[in-house]
Amino acid sequence: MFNACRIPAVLTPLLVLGCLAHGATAFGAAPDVDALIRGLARKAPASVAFTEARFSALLREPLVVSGELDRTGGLWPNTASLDRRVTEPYRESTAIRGESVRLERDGEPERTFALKRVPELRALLSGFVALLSGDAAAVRKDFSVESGGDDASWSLELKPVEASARRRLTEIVVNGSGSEPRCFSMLDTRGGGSVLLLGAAAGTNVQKNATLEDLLSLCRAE
Amino acid sequence: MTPTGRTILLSALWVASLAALGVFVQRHLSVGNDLRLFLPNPTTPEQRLLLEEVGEGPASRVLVIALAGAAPQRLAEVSRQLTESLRDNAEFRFVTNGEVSPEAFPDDLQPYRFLLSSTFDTQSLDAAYLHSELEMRARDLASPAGIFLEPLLPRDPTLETLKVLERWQPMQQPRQDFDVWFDHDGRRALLVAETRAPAFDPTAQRASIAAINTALADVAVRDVTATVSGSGAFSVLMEARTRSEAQSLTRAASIGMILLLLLAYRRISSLFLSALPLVSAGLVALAAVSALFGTVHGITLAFGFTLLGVAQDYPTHLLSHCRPNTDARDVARELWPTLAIGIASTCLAYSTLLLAGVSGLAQLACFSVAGLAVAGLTTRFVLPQLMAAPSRDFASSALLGRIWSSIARLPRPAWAVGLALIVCIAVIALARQPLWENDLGKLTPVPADLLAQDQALRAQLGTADVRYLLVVDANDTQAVLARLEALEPSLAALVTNGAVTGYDDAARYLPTVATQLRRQARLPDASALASALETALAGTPFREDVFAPFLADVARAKTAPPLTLARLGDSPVGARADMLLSAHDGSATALVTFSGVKDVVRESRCSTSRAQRKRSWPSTGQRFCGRSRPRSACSSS
Repeated sequence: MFNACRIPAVLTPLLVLGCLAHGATAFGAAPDVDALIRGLARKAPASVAFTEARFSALLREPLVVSGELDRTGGLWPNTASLDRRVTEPYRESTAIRGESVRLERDGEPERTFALKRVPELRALLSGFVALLSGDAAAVRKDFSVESGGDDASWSLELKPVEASARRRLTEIVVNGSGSEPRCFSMLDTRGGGSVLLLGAAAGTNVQKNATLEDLLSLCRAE
Repeated sequence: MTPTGRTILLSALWVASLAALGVFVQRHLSVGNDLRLFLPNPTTPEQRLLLEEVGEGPASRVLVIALAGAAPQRLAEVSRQLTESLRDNAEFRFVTNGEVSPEAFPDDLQPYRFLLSSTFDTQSLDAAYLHSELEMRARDLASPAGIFLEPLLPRDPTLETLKVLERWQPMQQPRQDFDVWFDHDGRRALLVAETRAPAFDPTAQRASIAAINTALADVAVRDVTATVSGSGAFSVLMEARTRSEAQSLTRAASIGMILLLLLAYRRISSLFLSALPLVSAGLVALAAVSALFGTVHGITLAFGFTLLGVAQDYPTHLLSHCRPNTDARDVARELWPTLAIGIASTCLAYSTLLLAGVSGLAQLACFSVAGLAVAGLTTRFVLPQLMAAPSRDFASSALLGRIWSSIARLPRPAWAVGLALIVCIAVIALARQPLWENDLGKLTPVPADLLAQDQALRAQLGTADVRYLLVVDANDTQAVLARLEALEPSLAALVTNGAVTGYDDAARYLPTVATQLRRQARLPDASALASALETALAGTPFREDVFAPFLADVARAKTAPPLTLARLGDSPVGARADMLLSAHDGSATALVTFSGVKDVVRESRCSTSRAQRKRSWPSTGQRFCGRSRPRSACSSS
């Protein structure tokens, strides 16, 4: 918690609250994973605002985009579909249908690629969709899951089981309170990762000098 | 016909020498199945190339495997497992189900992407271009594709590798579900396997198809059915069909012959006596062909034995002329002049096959002449020694007498001749097919529906159509590649206007040395690139120091010796280019294969270069040759 509290000024007020909240519940038992995941079930089709910050060793500053995520019902990858529409600071849309991903961006040729080629992305998406469907069994199929915190501010840590997914994906961390997921963070093996802020958290203003650790702390704390 | 010691000894000697000959044949006989032995011997280099290409070219070696019978996802899974298991199999040169394999671009060839890609032919690798590329990469990094693009970026911020890999993909991509190829309806998963064995080697092809079936049995539990199609599969099918038909016909003919001999002579010994010259003829013929030609073609054997059936007449003449109290040797002496003329004329007739200039037919001539001569000579000189005078006339049989008179009593109306004539004329006049068939395609015993299915599968996959080829030749590899490069716009136009859906040639994988040197010259030098990159990085979120591997690659591309076929070597792309281009001493030949051929006339006018010759293979080329015999520029040679 010390690390989390030693962060830029802009986030401090939030984090102080977070540290307090976290400290207060540290003695309680971690929430039941299955119940937690079941509680996340959302009726599809559903649409949610997001802000995503991407951190990489190649980058001086995080890449921050925001837009909307749309999900239609069913069990991925058979029937479910996921659309990620970026509206700021440029327009881009990613459509995930079954095993294929189509990426369209203004002024660039459309690109498609198969999820099979990107096992880490496949794992990420299957975990994401399984969580939003409240399907604990599907989550456990691809990940080992641990929970932390309490009902008011919980976290789920998903570590991929398959070696091909582990090659680049270290873990997925989901934070939320009650039945609302707030952050969906992906940590890669190269020290980078991305943090997806959902719903109300999507309004967070991510500073240019924020680090991955800053955002993870923010997610844990809020 | 009581056997004396002398006849027994002589019979034993004969049988023993036949057995010895049998052992010799067994040891030395090698049966070939290359159908090209029955095509005219090539006399020009083009004909030789065509024959080689037809039997051994990339298009004819490709087997298409269609998996059906289960849900698409299950089929995709089986397709993946089947591909993995067949990739390790020595029978196949490559197996693919549409998944892109990263090893197509070996790591040490990576710097060559700047010489292989045409991006910088028109665009310079300057600060403005780099800046716009870096901005796009930043967006890529923030997209879901970021996680797999990120490791590539330090080395390849312009994603040139992906552009080269894209160029190397087949032009017409079939439908892909769950990452693997499917047919239009998405009901059958499709795979392509290229055998090492040439198409017209049914024995080796049978092994390849058996390997596919074994691999399939390992991965699928009866729920998936596989259809294997392609020239190789057809040659296996044809061979099996011909073999089984030949066997059943031979069996029926032998049984009929035995029954007839027993009815005519009513002696078991007559069977033995009739068989001896025939067996001798067969064994000597086999020995002669394998000694002279080395390999005996399966078709030579099948037809040869049919032609040798004539030799059955010789002992029959001898047996039928034997009367009680006549010596068989005297009968043979009396018969010989007539018999000899018959044998000589038959041998002369078969000898003409030698002149056809087709080695399969020459084998056939050698086989039948040797066999008939031996059957005649043994009938004249050896067989009579074994025959004692019959105790009674073979013809004096009450049963045969009754059969004869009942045949003689059958009515023979004169009007039947007229009726037969009218029927014959009607058949000729009303026949749906023309009296003279010019379409060599009709010669194939492969059922039309299988051929149609093969065409349909190939069309969906975009694999090369075996019927059409463009042959380009020049003095050496570089000159051929230059001609292919010059052809590129015309070929691309064919795709644009829909005459074909795609084409493949060596130039798609390897540019000429001249082109590579030109691209090398256009690349900026190390210091110019470094300062361009520095300028380009301003205003992007990237760190300054991360693109050192990119600078190193460009520097290597700038000075590296141009890429050649030899350098591409055994990489999948090298293997592909190697098949499409062959260099012999003093000449090099490249093939352009086409897929989804729709408009042959337009295609045959594709080029104005004098170096190209369009060839259509006669087995299915009737439509092409008939309507648009290549008068066009492509056909000038």
